Amino acid sequence: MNRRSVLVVLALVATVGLAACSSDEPGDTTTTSTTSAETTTSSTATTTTTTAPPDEQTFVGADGVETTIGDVSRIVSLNGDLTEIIFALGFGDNVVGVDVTTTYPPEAAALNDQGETVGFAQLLAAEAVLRFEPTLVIGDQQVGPPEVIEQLRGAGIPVVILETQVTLDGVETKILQVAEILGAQEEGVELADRVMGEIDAAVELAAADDSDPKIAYVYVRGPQVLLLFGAGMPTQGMIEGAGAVDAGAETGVFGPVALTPEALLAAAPAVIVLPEAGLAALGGIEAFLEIPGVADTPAGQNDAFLAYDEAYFFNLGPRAGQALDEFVRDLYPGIGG
Amino acid sequence: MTDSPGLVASTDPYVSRRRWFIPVVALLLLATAWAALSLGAVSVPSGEVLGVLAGKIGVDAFDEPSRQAEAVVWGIRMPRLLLAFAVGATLGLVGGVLQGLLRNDLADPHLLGIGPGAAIGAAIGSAAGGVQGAIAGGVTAGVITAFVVRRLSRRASIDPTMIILSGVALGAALAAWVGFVVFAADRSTVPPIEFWLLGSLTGSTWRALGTAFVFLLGSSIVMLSSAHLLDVMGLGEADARHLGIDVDLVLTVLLIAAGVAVGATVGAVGVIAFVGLLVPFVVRRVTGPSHRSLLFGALASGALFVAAADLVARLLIQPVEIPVGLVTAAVGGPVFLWLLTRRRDA
Repeated sequence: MNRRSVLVVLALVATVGLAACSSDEPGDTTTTSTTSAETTTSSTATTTTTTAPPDEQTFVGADGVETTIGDVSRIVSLNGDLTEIIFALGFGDNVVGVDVTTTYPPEAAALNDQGETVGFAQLLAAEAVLRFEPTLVIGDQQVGPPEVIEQLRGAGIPVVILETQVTLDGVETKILQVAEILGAQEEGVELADRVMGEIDAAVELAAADDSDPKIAYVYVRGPQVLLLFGAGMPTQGMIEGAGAVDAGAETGVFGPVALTPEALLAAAPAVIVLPEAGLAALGGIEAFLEIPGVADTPAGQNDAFLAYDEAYFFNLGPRAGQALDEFVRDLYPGIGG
Repeated sequence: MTDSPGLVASTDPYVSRRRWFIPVVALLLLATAWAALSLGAVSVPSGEVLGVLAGKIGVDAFDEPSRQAEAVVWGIRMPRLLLAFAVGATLGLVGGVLQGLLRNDLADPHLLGIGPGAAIGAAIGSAAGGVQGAIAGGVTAGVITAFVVRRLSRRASIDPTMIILSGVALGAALAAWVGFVVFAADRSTVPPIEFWLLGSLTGSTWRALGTAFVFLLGSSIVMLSSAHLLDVMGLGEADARHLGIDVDLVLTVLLIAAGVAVGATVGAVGVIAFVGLLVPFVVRRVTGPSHRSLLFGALASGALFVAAADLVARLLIQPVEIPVGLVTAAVGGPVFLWLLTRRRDA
């Protein structure tokens, strides 16, 4: 072994040594706490109006990070359901940027059309958010990548991450949390009461029917994207709220899975629910029936398809009760007169 | 540019080329750095960009930067630029070393399967500990894959194309395993398969840069110091042994260094294709076969290539960013093909 190779080996040993040191560094320096979102209490219990935001308050998000929220005059909302709630609480004028999938309310959709979008909330880039000079960024646990959230916080922007809600009960939590963040607790309670009242009424209406049909939610967006939704999706909450059985969840599907003829046949849904715009992009029900397996399901044989605007149907926001009511009435014709 | 390399005995035809190569690359590096720091979805006036930079070295000059300008230039663009430089430099260097080591112009860390192999470990590591876990996992898996490549290359040493073919097969199989890991893992912690196989610098933070840099610097020093050994090994294994070089040791050490280097880049930014293949290939035409100038040239040019490609990835469809590996492959593929046909014609 000559001198050169000895040097090489020494350098290598040094590398490995350094590397070992670096990997021992503490992983995360952000403030973490195990407080769950539900037990979070706000220090500002005083009444506030939509025009005069509270001075400063802290909120512990679903990621355990405590965020100090002051100015809410420039909000970037990363999820369509949260955008709907912010608008319903009367803070729509404060929303400066939304994610690209946002379609409601029309004012928010207009932001999207004007290019005032951050792109896809799951594939964010820091500057795409920062260009709005937001004073508050709000999203749920689906947004990412986590490094970009870290970059935004590093830039001094308050980023609140809320727990992703997939049940009808979660609608209340979601509304109250957004209201708390905006310092509009009173409006929040009011909105939550109204929406939960609508949801309860729709659930009660559905209970008048004893049948429990199997219903599958199939997500289509043109011919390339065909997914069967299962457990843990907001559609499960809607279907079960309507007194029906989620066919996907029942056959063991978790989350969204690629639709296969066999999975659909195994799920044997009596009714298939679809997103309106995606179905139109595919070419309507006729085109959907040509997908292998579809025509052989009970739904296909009885032509039992329902299509709703996707945000309306599964955003689980302020329109959830309304959507559930419409869904129940479509599902059990003649119910409730 | 027309003479075939390595056949001129008395004079070194590369001297003049090397003379302009350094200032040209240095100028392009500076221009890229300036563009990367001053362009983006958030518009920051040049005066404020300079103000941020001046402020960091304790000089109170140019425009007083706003808080936003400071956050964007120093918190987001700077770590991203430096990570692009570090990753590009290392990939260029690894390519140069592997091509010399295996005496094969087509050797490339990702073509040989080291990149996809590292991505498996990185994806598993990211589930456990974010970007630092990803880098640690990438380094571990990168070294292991480098040794698998070594075993394969020993068997296939008679035929250089066999090394590449077996590497391509290995890489395809390993890339599939990256997919299995990603789909089995929790999507909120493990980045998607596009990140691992196409690469992205979107998530560049100072923390990611710091962790990766330790590995990249260490392995790069090892690789750069091997230039002379690679020159001798270029004579052939038997001649190198006669000259007193422990060929097996050199192979082992350099493959470990390559595995560490590739693993750290993959853990930080995913697989960025074509850098390790194209950069040394081009640089060799300018600097000649001497590994000392080749390796340093590949280092600088790799940094330039990746930083420029990331600039395109970031600015092409604002505010959406496309994977940087798409840009390097879209540019690198055709350029490489063109060079290959030119070589045949020459």
